[in-house]
Amino acid sequence: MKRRKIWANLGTAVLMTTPAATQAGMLPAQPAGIEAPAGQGTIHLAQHQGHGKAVKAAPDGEGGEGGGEGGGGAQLPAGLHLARGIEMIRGHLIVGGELVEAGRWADALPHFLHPEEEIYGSLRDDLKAFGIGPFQTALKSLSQTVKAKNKEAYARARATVEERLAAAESAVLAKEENKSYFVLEAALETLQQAADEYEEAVEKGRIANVVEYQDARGFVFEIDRLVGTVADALAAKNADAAKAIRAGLDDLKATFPAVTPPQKPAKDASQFLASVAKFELQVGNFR
Amino acid sequence: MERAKTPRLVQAAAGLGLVTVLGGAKAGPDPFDAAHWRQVFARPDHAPMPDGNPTTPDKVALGAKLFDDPRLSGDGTVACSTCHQAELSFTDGVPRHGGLDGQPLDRRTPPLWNMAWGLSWFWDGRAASLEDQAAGPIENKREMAGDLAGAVRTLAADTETVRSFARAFPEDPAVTRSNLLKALAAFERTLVSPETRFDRWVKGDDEAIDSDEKAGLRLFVGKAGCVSCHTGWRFTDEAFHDVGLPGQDQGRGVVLGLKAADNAFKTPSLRERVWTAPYMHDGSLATFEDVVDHYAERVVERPTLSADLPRRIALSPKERAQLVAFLNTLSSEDPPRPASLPARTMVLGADVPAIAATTVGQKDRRFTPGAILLKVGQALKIVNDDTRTHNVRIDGPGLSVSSDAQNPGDAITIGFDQPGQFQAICGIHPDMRLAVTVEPMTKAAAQP
Ligand code: HEC
Ligand code: HEC
Repeated sequence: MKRRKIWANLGTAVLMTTPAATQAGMLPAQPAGIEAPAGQGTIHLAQHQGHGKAVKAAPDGEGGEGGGEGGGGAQLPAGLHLARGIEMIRGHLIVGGELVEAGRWADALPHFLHPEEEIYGSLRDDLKAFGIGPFQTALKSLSQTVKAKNKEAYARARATVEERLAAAESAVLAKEENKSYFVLEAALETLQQAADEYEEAVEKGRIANVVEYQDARGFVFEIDRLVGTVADALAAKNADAAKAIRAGLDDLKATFPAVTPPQKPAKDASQFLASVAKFELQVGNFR
Repeated sequence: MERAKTPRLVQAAAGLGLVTVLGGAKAGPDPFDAAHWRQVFARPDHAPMPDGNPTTPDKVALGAKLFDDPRLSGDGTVACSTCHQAELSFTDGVPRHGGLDGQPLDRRTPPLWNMAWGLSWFWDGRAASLEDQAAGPIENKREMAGDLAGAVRTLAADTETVRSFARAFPEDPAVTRSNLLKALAAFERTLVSPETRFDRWVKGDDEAIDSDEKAGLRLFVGKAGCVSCHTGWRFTDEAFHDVGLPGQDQGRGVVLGLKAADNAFKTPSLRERVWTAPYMHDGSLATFEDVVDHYAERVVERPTLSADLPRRIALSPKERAQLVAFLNTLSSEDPPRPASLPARTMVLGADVPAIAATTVGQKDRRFTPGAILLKVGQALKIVNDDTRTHNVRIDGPGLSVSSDAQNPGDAITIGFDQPGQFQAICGIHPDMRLAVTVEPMTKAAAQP
């Protein structure tokens, strides 16, 4: 359960530094180093309450990744929930793909199994709501090619999945008016998942869980790419905030120098959280 | 296959004044008869095996090992499973596998589900048995570039393998070409596709498929006309059709030496196809959606198009999605593993009683009657009272006949001057079989 709690913590911590926040009574032990820049009055993002509640709603199997990846964020609006799911799947594919490129098929396999086994199920209703055709078998077919260690088949099956994800993404975006803000919201949700993964990965000053480290890496690199797709719109809206977003992502990426974890982690879990929180603070500028 | 000669053949227009009903264009709406279709698509409870090669556990185990054994190839690096990967439903997930010469092979690697029920093998049907088929890739220069004699020598030098052969063939405990091919074929006959949601519907569970999938089934057997070729529990008629894909590969036409069969390929089964993209003999269509779009609007018009292919089917986007949804029900929800099904010896057409007759029809892709008795010296007239082009062939003993393209309305006459048992088939629709028993002339008949 500790992963969910962390998020309740961070949400509150962020709120605490804002003038509007008065829930001092709820204050838990606070993560270090989170500051709200001046003028960032209301960063009361709705989804944070969601994370708090998810503690109760969390399904069984929280111990593994089980409830973790797909389960959280059940309170998100369908579009955002789906967008986050798509991003998490893409994140897995990115890091899985890196491992495939390195010929490390067995290491890659979990990253191809997770999307189908742990994320897809929670997206089913969203997909229906948005009239997006199912793509579960496309995901399963992709992991079969990894089991088969068949590079050519992998490339094809991966392209098929990417196409399905892109179609799903456009269906979601079509319903959003402020697309670049929506993208940032989805990015933030995904980065919060990355923080969860990273938190699981680090133990006593080292990366104890390689797969979780890689998950977090995949999520962050995917978000880096995603935010890149709206970079121009962001810069047009608020050049300074856009720069800060860019810097925040670079900072997050620096946590993951390579697909294989470093001997000594570049950040501990709370530093990582703090970086996500900095990103979060900028998001409000694009509402 | 050698080009059959046709010395005893007289081909003539029968002048039956047939009204040709093309492409399943039936009048009126077709009411959906669930009971009928449940019968058409019912799964068998046994897997067929040929007389000469019973499916035994030891033989299957040996075949499975050989299937994975790169020693069958020329350079010792390629096994059957290099292209027919178990994880990928015994195919390779690419349009065309790269050949040993670095160029893509001519055709896509087909999955190997339910091979036991086949009537001919390869996309163009050039192998007449699964045993014959297995020699093909081993000796193909671009696939395994092996030679069977060499492979047999290599295997015979390995004591473990020798023991496996001895267990598998107690009657003939030797590493031989014939035993090697038999073991591979016996293994392949066990690759039976498992039951899917659609089979639960067939068994009477109406809830097993949802309303869109049901609508897709109705289209499949109705307006879209798919069932004229994709029929039976495996969803194939085992026949050869030109479905209007662009491309230069002449397919069945080359095997038969018959222009009318150009561009025709064997109807693939639709079982477990979710797992075997891309599709078609050339791997040119990436998804089910593409396949349905092809049938709806991209068929290349040409004279060789199958008479069973509906021309211009109007399918709305919704209907196309429903067809795709239905196709999905023919595949497992998870990557399939072979189902176990007991094997039983089966002989095609053996149960038809023979009738004394000299004229045989071909309506609805069936020789009627299916088995006849003739006397030496009598002529057999085969009349194409069907709506499709046929190609009557008899291959021995002592007789080799090919009718050429036998168009609707054409009749052919074949004389028999030797007694014996013959089998006529259609080269385009190999499930059409006619047993001909020619009896010696009685003394009385011989001296008129
Ligand atoms: C280099 C890739 C490759 C290898 C290796 C290979 N195959 Fe195939 N296989 C193919 C292709 C391509 C086809 C279709 C060729 C055609 O139809 O002309 C095919 C067709 C077949 C078919 C016919 C299926 C049908 O529906 O008619 C069978 C059965 C089969 N292979 C079994 C085997 C066996 C047994 C081996 C090992 C002895 C083997 N293959 C090795 C690529 C391969
Ligand atoms: C005239 C006979 C015929 C009809 C009618 C027909 N098919 Fe086919 N189908 C074939 C043949 C033959 C092929 C293989 C063609 C080739 O590769 O050249 C095929 C291939 C396919 C494939 C690809 C299978 C694979 O493994 O490559 C699918 C899927 C399919 N058909 C679905 C359908 C659907 C859906 C319909 C109805 C809209 C339909 N077919 C109508 C004969 C037919």
